[in-house]
Amino acid sequence: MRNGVSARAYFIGVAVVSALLLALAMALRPSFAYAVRDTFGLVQPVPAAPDSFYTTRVAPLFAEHCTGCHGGKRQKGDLRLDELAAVMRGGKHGPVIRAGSAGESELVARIGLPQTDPKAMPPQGKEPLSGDDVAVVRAWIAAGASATRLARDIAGAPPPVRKIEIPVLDTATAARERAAFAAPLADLQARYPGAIAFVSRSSADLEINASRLGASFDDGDLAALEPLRDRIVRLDVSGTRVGDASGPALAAMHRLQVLRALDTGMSAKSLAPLRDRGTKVHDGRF
Amino acid sequence: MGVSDPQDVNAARVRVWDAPVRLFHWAIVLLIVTSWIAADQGYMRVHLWSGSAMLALLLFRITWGIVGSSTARFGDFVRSPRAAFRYLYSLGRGEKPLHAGHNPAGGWMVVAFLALLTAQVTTGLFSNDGLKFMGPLALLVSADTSDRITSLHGTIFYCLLASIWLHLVAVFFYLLVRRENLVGAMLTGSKPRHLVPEGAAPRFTRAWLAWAILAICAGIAGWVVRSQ
Ligand code: HEM
Ligand code: HEM
Repeated sequence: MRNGVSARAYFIGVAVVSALLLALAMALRPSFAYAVRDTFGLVQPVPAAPDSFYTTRVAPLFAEHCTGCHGGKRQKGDLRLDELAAVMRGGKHGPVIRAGSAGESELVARIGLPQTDPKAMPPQGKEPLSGDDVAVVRAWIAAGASATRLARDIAGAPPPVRKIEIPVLDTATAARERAAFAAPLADLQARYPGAIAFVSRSSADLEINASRLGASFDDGDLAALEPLRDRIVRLDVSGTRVGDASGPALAAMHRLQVLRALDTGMSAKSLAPLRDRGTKVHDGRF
Repeated sequence: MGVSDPQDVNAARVRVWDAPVRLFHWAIVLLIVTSWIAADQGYMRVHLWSGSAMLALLLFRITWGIVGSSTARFGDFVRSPRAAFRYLYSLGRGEKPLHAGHNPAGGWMVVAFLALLTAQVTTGLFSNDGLKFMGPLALLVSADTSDRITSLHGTIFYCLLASIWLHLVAVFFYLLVRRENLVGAMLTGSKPRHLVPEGAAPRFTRAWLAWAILAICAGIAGWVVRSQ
């Protein structure tokens, strides 16, 4: 019978071929080479100083606009922008930053493209960097992409802008939330005309005034509000026939902020739990 | 040359693999390469197509492992782990144990591949690319979960690559060390008589049944992929 190579020779061959394949993969993919070197502890860390321009101005931009795709969660294009060492290493096709030359840095080119360009970063549909943001990145690279230099050493960077949060009328969100209970709400509004309203145009929270229904409103009616209980923040049952039997129904309205209950059958004892959890209760007693 | 008749003791070769098993094998090789390149280059439509074809083929191969030809059946080649180790041990001692179909160690390789590929395709269905593409079932889970599944999809692929490497090391071990051309058998379907145990006679399920099952599996895969 013909004889093959010895098992020993074969496995030496396998080791050689594996090493060659590994070397080839490392040559073709810098990011893979980096991962391999990292595994063997051969990567030089690039610690960024906490007060450096990079840490205070550049890294936050990357965190806001880039690291969702180029970070710990995913590494699109094998690029990570969540730590300086990785930023300097670059992606699938090598470095994306040429220290000292913003014009020759792939990263700068990409964030400067019009949104419709398929190579634009962030890609179309994501929040683009502002002109000032781009200028910050350019200035940092032009000044050497340093890990330590302070803001005063970086020429041409626009000053930081303090962001002021302006609460917006988020009617879209409110509309979506309102849709979730539109059907029971319509039923109940028909049953108790004029008693149920939203607290504002941009909110899905409810204000209920049962006092206008007077003695015709009782424990059974309060129980009927059950489908709305997560949305009721203000409730007035003054002058109704609501009594202690409604204790559990009121307790279930866990977002209730204000309860007016003057002249009802409710005892101080049954209202105490509501007071304890922080609901403001007006029942004419103290 | 009576290749197809295993009872013919004069035939130089014995048929061991049916066409469905061989087609399955080379189709998944092609599909893995296609899926890899497509994902790497961002051709997600192509990736979805190759992945869906993979889903259909996996469903088919698992069914064929129950109702197919004897060498395709799990019942034929899934042996105890001890049997697999005993087999590897005898290989190490230079013995020449023969098997018409998969050997006990190879049987576990098949199970491992089918499990890994099933995991690859299943996670793919729930993955997203962070941009415009979503696996057809990604909306069934939260965005966070889909992201986690996506990274799992990537990790499983590395396991798959490692398994493929091991698979090739094994196949070439047979070819170069033991002078058994298993690759030729996976291509043509037949092995030289001296590599098949005396008296072994694989039974073959009719091919039309394979095509019928494949058509049903393709239908199921298509339905899953289009369900969103
Ligand atoms: C993407 C890469 C590959 C995968 C995922 C893969 C997977 C598999 C699977 C699942 C089987 C079992 C087939 C069955 O029973 O249905 C198998 C068997 C086999 N494969 Fe592959 N394969 C790959 C590449 C290759 C290549 C490139 C070759 C040849 C150079 C090869 C040669 C073989 C052979 C000879 C067998 C039969 C083993 C035996 O006799 O037990 N495979 N492979
Ligand atoms: C219908 C089935 C599949 C779907 C819907 C699917 C979907 C996806 C998605 C959404 C991604 C993320 C791409 C990105 O982040 O850029 C991805 C990546 C990938 N998929 Fe699939 N996939 C499927 C099947 C497969 C199969 C069968 C293979 C290989 C055998 C495969 C291999 C890969 C690879 C290698 C990546 C890149 C992973 C990475 O970048 O970490 N996929 N796939």
